[in-house]
Amino acid sequence: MMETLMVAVVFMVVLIIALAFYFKFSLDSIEESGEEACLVSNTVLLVSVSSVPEIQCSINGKTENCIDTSKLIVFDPSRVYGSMFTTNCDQKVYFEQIYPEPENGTCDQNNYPDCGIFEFYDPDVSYSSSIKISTPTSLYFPLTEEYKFGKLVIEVLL
Amino acid sequence: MNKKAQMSSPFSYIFALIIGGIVFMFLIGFAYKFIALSGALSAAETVTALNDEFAAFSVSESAEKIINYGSSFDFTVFEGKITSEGQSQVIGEIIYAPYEIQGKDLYVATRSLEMPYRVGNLFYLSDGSVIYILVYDSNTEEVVEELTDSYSAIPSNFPREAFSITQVASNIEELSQLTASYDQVRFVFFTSYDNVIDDIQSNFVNYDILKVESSDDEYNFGQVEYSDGEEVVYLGYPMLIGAIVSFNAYSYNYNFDLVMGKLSSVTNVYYDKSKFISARKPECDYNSIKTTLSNYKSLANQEEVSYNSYSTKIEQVESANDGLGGDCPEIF
Repeated sequence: MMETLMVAVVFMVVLIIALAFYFKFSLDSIEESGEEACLVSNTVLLVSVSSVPEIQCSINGKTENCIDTSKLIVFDPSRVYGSMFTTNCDQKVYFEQIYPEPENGTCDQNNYPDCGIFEFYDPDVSYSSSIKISTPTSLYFPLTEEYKFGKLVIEVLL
Repeated sequence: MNKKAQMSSPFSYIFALIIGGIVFMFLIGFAYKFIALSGALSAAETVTALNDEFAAFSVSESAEKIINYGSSFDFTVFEGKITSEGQSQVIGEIIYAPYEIQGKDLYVATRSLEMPYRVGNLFYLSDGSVIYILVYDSNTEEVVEELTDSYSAIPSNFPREAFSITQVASNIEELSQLTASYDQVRFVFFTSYDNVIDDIQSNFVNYDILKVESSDDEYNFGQVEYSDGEEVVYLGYPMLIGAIVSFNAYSYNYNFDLVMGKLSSVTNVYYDKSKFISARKPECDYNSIKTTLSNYKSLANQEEVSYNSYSTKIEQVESANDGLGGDCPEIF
């Protein structure tokens, strides 16, 4: 009786340990797949953000491949595009003027156009590290009808 | 010793049977859960990959693609959600599609919607099992030509044909044979179908009929009547294609509301931009564009508006924007 019980107990212990290891490796693999999917989605986002009609240039009734900075100033994407940025993971999205080198920092209606960073989306969450991916973009200033060189930055929050 | 062995042996067998049964049930349960988890992960991956395809596609004003998944897929598209094997994901895009899509090849297409500025991209899905037959008369021939052979045409990777009403009336049996390999035939009439309805009923088994009507010569704005008598409004060819591809009026109207939401959002940005530019350029008169954009925005938030109202408002917005220029930058 005791021997049978002991064999059963030992078998169950071994089984539970084996399953615990299995689940841990499975979980790690799923997390890895999730991070991979997150990076892929953000790379796609890097391409697609510039074509969002709320910020894309429309000049003389025709869409152009540039970002209208006056639209960036007046548009709050969290009201409309909240789901677009929270599919797989959190990220910050902003546009940065590179040339001519800007004098001030973050843009708002008061310091526009003498500023360099146009915040687009900020989930306002805490994070331990981040990965930045970026792509060059053309920034259009309708008040002066000027184009300036900039980049779109997506900061993937981990 | 013998007495003890004789007493404990049956009990040991029963005990081992119970323990063995528990372990067996546990392992069976674990196997089932693992299968379900694998299925869920695979479905989630499919849906996420599809979502990425849409996002990448949205860059283009007009694009078409056939995605070969290698193995069979089966998912439903309903109320902005794609559901596969019980796994649903909300797609942040406007998708017109039949209810169920299955097969190995997925036909994807997109068209940019402009009213009069770009509002966004509309997406269309098909598995190639439905063929769309567009039927025209002498008044609507050019419209159908535009819908089958132009930049804003029905996606060329979707099965579709165009015939005149005379051709349909005189060659109904050939038409039936031509479409026999498809699961469903959807007739889209740009003319009256009273003279051919009996022939269609007697030659086709799985079919339905859509009727497109418009007071506009170019059919840019109009309405579509589904087989069940439900009527929907379309504003531009991309939405007309959406109505043709959608499986019913409810599905189309769900997307219509999404389009109106997008239109409202984009118009709101242009309205805010006009106020912002107006404050920076006090020497310019932006009152006209501000008023028309504000009215247009209100219209987009209203329900049951005629297509003529939209047509008029779009013309007014365009006209107000055209009045700007020079030192007073246009709004769009």
